[in-house]
Amino acid sequence: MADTAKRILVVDDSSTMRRILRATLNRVGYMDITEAGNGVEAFAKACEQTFDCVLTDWNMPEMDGLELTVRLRQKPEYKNVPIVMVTTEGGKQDVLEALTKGTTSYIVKPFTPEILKQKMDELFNR
Amino acid sequence: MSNDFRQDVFRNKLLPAFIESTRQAFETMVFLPTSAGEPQFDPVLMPRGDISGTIGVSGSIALTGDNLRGNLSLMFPDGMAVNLFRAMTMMGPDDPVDAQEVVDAVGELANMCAGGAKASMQEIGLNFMISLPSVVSGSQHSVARMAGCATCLVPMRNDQGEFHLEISFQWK
Repeated sequence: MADTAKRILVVDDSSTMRRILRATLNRVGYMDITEAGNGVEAFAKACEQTFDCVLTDWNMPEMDGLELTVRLRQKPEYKNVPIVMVTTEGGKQDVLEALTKGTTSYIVKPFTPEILKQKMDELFNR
Repeated sequence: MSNDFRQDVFRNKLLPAFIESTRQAFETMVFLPTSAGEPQFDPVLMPRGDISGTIGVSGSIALTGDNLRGNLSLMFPDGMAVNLFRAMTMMGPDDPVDAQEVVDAVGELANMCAGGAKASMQEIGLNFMISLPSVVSGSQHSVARMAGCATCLVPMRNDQGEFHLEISFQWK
C-alpha cells in the first residue's frame, strides 16, 4: 500500500481533472491531497506547508505549471521534492523543456489510473 | 505550398491525428471505446448540440514556415455530456452533478483531444500551439465556423450515443 502520510499537492485549472486525480490517488492509498486551481494558488499553498509531491498541469491561467516549477525549485525546501507535470503537452520538445526547467517526471493526458499509480510508485520507490 | 499539398496535409495527416487523439481520450479517460463515422468535408449543415467545447489551434508548419490556424470542436447532446462526466470522474448514476463541472469536463476533453494531436504532429515536424478551451452550452446551439477554413465534421459513436468532432484549418 501507499504511504498515506505523503502530502500531495494537485494543481489543475480543471475541476474535473482535480477530481480524477484525487479519486485515483485515493484509490491507490494516497489520502492527504490538497488542491489548487492555478500556479499562483499552488505556490501560496506550497509556502504554507511543504508537500512531499506536486502534480501540476502545464497550461493554466494566472501562472502555468512550468513557472510554478521554476519558482518552487528556487525554494530550498522544494529542491528535491518530486514535481510531476500532468499535461496534454506530450511532444518530445515539451517534455524536454519541462525536464530542463526542473520537472522530475511527466504524465501525458489522457492517462490511465495504472499509469498514475506506476508513476507514484516510482517516485516513492515502492 | 500548393493547395493540393495543403489539402493532403489536412486530410491525411491532421484529420487522422485528431480522430485518433479523440478516440484515445475517450477510451482512456471516459472508459468508452469510441469509433469515428464517415468524415464530411466542408459540410454545409452545422450540427446542433447542447454543450460544445472549442479549442483554438494556431502555429506553423516547421518544414515550410507557412502559418496555419484552426479550431477543434466537440459537440454533445446535453444528457450525453452528463453521462460522460459521470464516467470520467467515476461517479455513480445517482450522484448529483453540478452543471458547471460538466462544462469543465467538456473543455478538458477538448483539451486532451487537441493535445494528443499536437504531440503526434510534432513527430512529423508540424508544430502548433493550442489555446485554453472555451465551452458553450445552451439547447440546440451551433458553433460558428471560421470563414475561409477547410472544415471536416466527423460523427463519433460510443455506448453513450453520438457526438460530433469538427476540425477547421486555414493556412495564412
